[in-house]
Amino acid sequence: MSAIVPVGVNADPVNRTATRWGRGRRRTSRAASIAAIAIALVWLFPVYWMIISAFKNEVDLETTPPQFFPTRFTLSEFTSAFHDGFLSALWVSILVSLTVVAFSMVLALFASLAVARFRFRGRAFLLVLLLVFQMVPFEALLIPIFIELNKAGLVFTIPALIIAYIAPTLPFTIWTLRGFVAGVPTEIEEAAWTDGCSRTAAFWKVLFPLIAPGLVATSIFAYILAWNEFAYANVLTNNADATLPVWLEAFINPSRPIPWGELMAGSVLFTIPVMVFFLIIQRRLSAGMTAGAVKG
Amino acid sequence: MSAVEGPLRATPRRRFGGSARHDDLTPSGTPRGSRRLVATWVPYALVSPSMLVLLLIIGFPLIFALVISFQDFNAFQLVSGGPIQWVGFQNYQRAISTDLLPVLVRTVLFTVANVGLTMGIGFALALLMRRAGKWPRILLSVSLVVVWAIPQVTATEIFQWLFDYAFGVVNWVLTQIHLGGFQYHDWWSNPVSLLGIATLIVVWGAVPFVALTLFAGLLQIPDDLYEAARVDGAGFWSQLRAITVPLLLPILLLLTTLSVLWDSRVFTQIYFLQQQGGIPSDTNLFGLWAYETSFAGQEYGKGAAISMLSAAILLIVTAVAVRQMVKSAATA
Repeated sequence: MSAIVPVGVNADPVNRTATRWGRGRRRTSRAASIAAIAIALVWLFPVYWMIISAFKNEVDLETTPPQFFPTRFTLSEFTSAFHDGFLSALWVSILVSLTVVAFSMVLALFASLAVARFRFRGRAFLLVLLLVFQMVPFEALLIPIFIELNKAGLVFTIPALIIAYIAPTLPFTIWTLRGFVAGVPTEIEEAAWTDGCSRTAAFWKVLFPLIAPGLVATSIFAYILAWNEFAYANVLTNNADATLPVWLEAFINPSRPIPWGELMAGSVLFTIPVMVFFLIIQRRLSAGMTAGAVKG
Repeated sequence: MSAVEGPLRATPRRRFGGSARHDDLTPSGTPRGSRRLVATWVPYALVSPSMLVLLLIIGFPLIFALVISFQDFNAFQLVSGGPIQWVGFQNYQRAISTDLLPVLVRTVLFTVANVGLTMGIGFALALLMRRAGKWPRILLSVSLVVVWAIPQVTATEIFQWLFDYAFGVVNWVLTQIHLGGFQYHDWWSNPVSLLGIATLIVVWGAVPFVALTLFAGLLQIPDDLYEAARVDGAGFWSQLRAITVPLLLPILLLLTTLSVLWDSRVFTQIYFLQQQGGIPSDTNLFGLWAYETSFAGQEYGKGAAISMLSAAILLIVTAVAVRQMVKSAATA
């Protein structure tokens, strides 16, 4: 849960660069191009290694020298992952992540509207509080949360994990959504009021569609946070309802040989949703929709 | 107050077609001083559910953590709810007298190494992308985005496989290029090599964000500036010193602060490597130390004391960094 970005998600480098590439006239050099290609390949190599290890024939997996370009492929490592409880861990992970997202998004939408659209006594204090909450080190929270959940008889259950995950997710979602709401000029809503819209109707008909991409992006970020989290899940769940990261960690056991093929197959399956989601927000994050609304 | 302000506000309100009920929705950033009765309860109603939840699951636990850091709270108290003893600063004293100094030094060195490498490599890659041709640049940025999306858990397990003692690619390559006999080399029993590989995993995963953000920043700098510098005979380094670094300074400072926050709290990567045969007491950073004291050693009181110490240290460091950032933003 440490990868929380307090600056907001708006700073999307890839999309911003896309609009700038047309400027041209930049001096490029062949050496830089070759270096860029080489570094890209080096950087991607671990990912490539994970993927081919997951699909390699068992005989080809552990060889000296290692096989860099396998010719025989199999899905048997994936089958063993399914046999060893992948699906139950997947179900827990999905359930926990979706519930956390649903709770935090509903709460955060209201809170971010208040912070971005109203001026009220205590607003500045609230904003500082949200920043401070994002800085709280997780293990300082985990100890008391664990003890309290234990007292309530909830520890080692799925609700325990959901409750614990809202702690780091909610401040982050409020903060990020606040940015998206503040990014929509009030003039648009005010125009709707002029046309006789009630404030609630203006919210649903005007503001809500405009912040919808922000809602999607923030939900995905929150989902990824919960999906990837390990430290809380390791303490707050038992084997029966382990999340995927805890399930993956259980393979690392010094007392027996690590089944690398199966582990890589599990890692591939665990990573695919994150990868897909991440690519979605890369595209969606551009503020183009709002900009168009203002111009049009 | 409203009697004085009423007529003054009449004009702008009419422009927005306002009947009275619109006043409470004043745009942020343009304070108009309109505090009507309608306005007062709406925002509070909107924030109160979130605030209630946050107080329950962050505020209250924080206070509770502070409380148990002064108690003898172990497995016995956890299971039986048994008698709780107040022990004053004993937990803090035990934390300070046992491992505080080595853990502090280790955390600082690890953070400095990780932040330095991430920022250095990230900056270099951003500069490189600026000079590379179109397709190499796209290839590099796509690779960086892919790696950026890789979860820490996955990243760590890939590197554990790459550094496997028997069939890991790294041992094979190192032996192949005659760097020594790395066949069956165990990377985990030595604390320095374990933390070195943890650094590798962290830097590999953290560089994309830094590189792409800095690259986006670089593209905001007009090429004319560099053209002019080149005409004046400025070389690569003087262009870097006179144009690039000063203009990117706010982004550089922000990224450095974030990296310090994240890297000083590295957890998953080191924990996984420890599970494969590392020695926890020789490789723990602050967070791991508190975690293992509490949940492996079941000394919740001491664990809470360690968390409080680390939170205090981190707070001081960040406060200094943030002040520095605000100052430089003010002068820039």
